[in-house]
Amino acid sequence: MAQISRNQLSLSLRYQNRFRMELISHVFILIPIILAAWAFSDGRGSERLEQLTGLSDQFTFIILGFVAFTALGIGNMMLQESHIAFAISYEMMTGTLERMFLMPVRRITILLGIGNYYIALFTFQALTLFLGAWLIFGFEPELTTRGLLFALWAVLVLVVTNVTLGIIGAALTLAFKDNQMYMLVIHRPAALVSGAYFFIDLMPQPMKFLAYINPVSYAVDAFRGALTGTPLLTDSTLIALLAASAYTVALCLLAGLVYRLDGPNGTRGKPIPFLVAIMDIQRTNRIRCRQSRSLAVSIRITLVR
Amino acid sequence: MQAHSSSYKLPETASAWLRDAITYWLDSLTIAKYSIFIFSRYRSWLLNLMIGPFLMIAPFVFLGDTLVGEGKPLTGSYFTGTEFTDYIGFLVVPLIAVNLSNTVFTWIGGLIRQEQLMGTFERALVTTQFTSTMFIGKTIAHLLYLAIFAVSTVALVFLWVSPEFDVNLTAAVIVIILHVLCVYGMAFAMSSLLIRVTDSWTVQTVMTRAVLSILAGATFPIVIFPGWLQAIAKAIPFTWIFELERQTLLQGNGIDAELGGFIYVVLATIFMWIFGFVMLRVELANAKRRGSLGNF
Repeated sequence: MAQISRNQLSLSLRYQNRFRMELISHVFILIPIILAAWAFSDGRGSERLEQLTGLSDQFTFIILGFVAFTALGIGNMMLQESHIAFAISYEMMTGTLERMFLMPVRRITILLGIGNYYIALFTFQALTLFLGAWLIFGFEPELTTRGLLFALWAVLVLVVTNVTLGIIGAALTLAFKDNQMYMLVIHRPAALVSGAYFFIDLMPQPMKFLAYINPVSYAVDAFRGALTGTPLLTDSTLIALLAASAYTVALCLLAGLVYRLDGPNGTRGKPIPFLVAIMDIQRTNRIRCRQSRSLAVSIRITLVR
Repeated sequence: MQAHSSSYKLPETASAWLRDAITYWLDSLTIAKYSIFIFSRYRSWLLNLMIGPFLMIAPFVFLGDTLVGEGKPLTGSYFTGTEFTDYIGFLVVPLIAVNLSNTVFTWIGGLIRQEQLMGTFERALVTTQFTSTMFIGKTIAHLLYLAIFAVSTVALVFLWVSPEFDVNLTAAVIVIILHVLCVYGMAFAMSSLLIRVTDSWTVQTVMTRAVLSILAGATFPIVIFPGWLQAIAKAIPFTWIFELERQTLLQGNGIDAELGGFIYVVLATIFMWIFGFVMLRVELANAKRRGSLGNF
């Protein structure tokens, strides 16, 4: 897994413009939101937001929501090529997917190896955003020991959700041979209904219903609630955290199910029709992998180089 | 028009001009058919058509609902003197335009990069006599998509938020056509300019989705910027286009409301088209000489 993570890092470093953008794109995405909010509320304070949420500082409201969302890593419209699903899509386009999947390791290991790079990247983005807003713009979260612990818990949940959604997204990409499918089914809806920078209860139905069943909403709300003391979706931050954690565990199970390779010939479990295609690829490659282990080892050496 | 062969000479007779023009058109149609064929393989376009625009526009409208209040007028100091009071219209008009522009940048701006990535760039180059037909052919194919996308986006917006439009039809049509031409011009220019950049898509993304969307003030008035940044913002054609679109679609004003901006955008559009086609020739020749044509 470590070797695959290093491989992903070296691939990213090869495209230096993209790498630079990965480091700063979260700021670019945030600026129009911050400026629109500033213009709408004529400054930093917002009476309207205070009436709705009890929090008068719209800047703090938006920054906290966006930091949490950045940790999730799927909300950034500029990073459409920076995620597990797109890493897989990239391998498909360049014709190296089969070569990679022939490596004598489980496919889930390959995906998690790729995911490690993105965990590091999005943690970096969330941290720099939080510190930048705090040190430069006088952003004012309520920092208590309990709040910080809960915020870290929320970040952990978001990071794990990031990887599991990435794995499921990779499944969609492989099944449909179309990386936009992931974007439209997971990426943008999760962004839209999470309430990262608006008040969820103002959304019309059925958007509001989707927001209340969206795991990302609870994680974002828990993070914000931990650092402001006022969660919006639930009565307490702990409940929001437990809800987000429960959703994440369910997503992990789903992601594990998608890439389960333990059964005979890798055929066990075909729960969802569109995943059948992936299972078929897995079965074929598993047999190939057994037959050509020495070849796979040599390919692995090439990949590491 | 430019042929991929460096030995190409301009025709000397009217019949030769006609022959080349027909060849150019047929080459463009070939590329258009090829583009539609590729496009039809990715079925997400239908899903994108149905929910893509909504997902792009809705978060900003919800932000307005949260900070301004549904049905309440824009009253902040940054809107003083702008005559815009409906935040939904203020946001929706440029965001529709941004949404449509993004499809142009994805299709045309990413054209060469995509061909390089899939290893089909050289094949596409030798298929046609005139290399710039790659742009024109792709544009023909994209215009079909753009028409469907525009209709579905506008229908969706009207069904969902019903912004208060006050349209000056003639002026609006002229501005929208100018906007489309300007976006294509910029996409041609960037695509040509970045042929030798291995991750050109990234540079274009930064330019179109960051710099342009921030500086052109799609979701806020640019008076929020300090003076020096406003000057830079006004050098971007899209700043004027968004203003013209708001004026003609929301205020019922004519082009004369921003005549200086309109003339500036026309000149910028002509420049970008010429620049795009000239740079395609120059950069292709450079890439061939350096052996970096298929690099990605």
